[in-house]
Amino acid sequence: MKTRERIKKLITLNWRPKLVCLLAAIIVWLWVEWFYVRDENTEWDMDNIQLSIPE
Amino acid sequence: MQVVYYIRATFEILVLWVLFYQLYRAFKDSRGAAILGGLLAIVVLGGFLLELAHAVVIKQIAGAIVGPGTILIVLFQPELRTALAKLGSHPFIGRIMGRFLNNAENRDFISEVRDSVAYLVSKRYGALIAICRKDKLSEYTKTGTQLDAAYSRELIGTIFMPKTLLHDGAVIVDNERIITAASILPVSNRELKDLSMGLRHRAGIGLAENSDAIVIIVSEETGTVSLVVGNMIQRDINLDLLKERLTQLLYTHENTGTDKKTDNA
Repeated sequence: MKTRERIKKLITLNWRPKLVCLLAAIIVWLWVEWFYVRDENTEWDMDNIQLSIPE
Repeated sequence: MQVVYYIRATFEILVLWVLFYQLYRAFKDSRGAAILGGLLAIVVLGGFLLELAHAVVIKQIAGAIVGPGTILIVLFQPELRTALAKLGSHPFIGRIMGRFLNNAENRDFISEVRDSVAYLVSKRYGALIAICRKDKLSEYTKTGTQLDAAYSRELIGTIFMPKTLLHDGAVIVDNERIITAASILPVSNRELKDLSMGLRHRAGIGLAENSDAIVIIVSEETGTVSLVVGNMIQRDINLDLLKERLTQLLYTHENTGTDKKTDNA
């Protein structure tokens, strides 16, 4: 019961700033994930690489 | 693989959430909170839009200008503030600005404090004025009557006029504005040698002991002015010295005085 009260207090106390911070965290994570992390992890598609063959 | 990806995402978002919330808590009562919020909004929204539009050149320019510039401003904000305050208080600048601004706008905060204290002394009104620095005294502002008004000699004189509803208690000033009047401050239990120091002085000393606020006390009985910072009390301070000390304490980031010996207390 005490733990439940603590969790309830943790969530409900200052819920607006907490919600805004959570949304900001999600937006920043998605931004970095989409624009930076995915680009780095994109694997080369070997079928579409045009190799230059010396004449 | 997908499960690991989602666990990693959840963990990273949680870490960011805690980080952002702790940053918010650290900055929520400070003067720079609004500036920081605005700056973050510009950086996040601007960065997101630039990424979406693939505006590589603008992004490079913005990164080159905004990045180091912002860091420098943030890092050297106190020094910049001091330099600007010194520049603004220079008589030559004052004369030039006086031509463009009217007298009311040209009066700086410290002069206004000095004049208000002079008025209180001349009228023999007892007064207790606490000026916030880093500590925002939120626990004490809750106990008073909310005002959020520009600091002026007239308003201070009216608040501390005896028999008015707000004259008992402290005025709390933050960011050059009167936040509350009739605030209740913690009373110091320290043994005071000077018997002329009553409950008003004890409250002022109590606040200074518990925060980094600058406290000005005008004695109703003797008409003398005391300045209290940390553990240091300056009794019977003259108005020009008060102005000088306030300039030092507010604009040159002098220590709280907690390590100094108590004078006359």
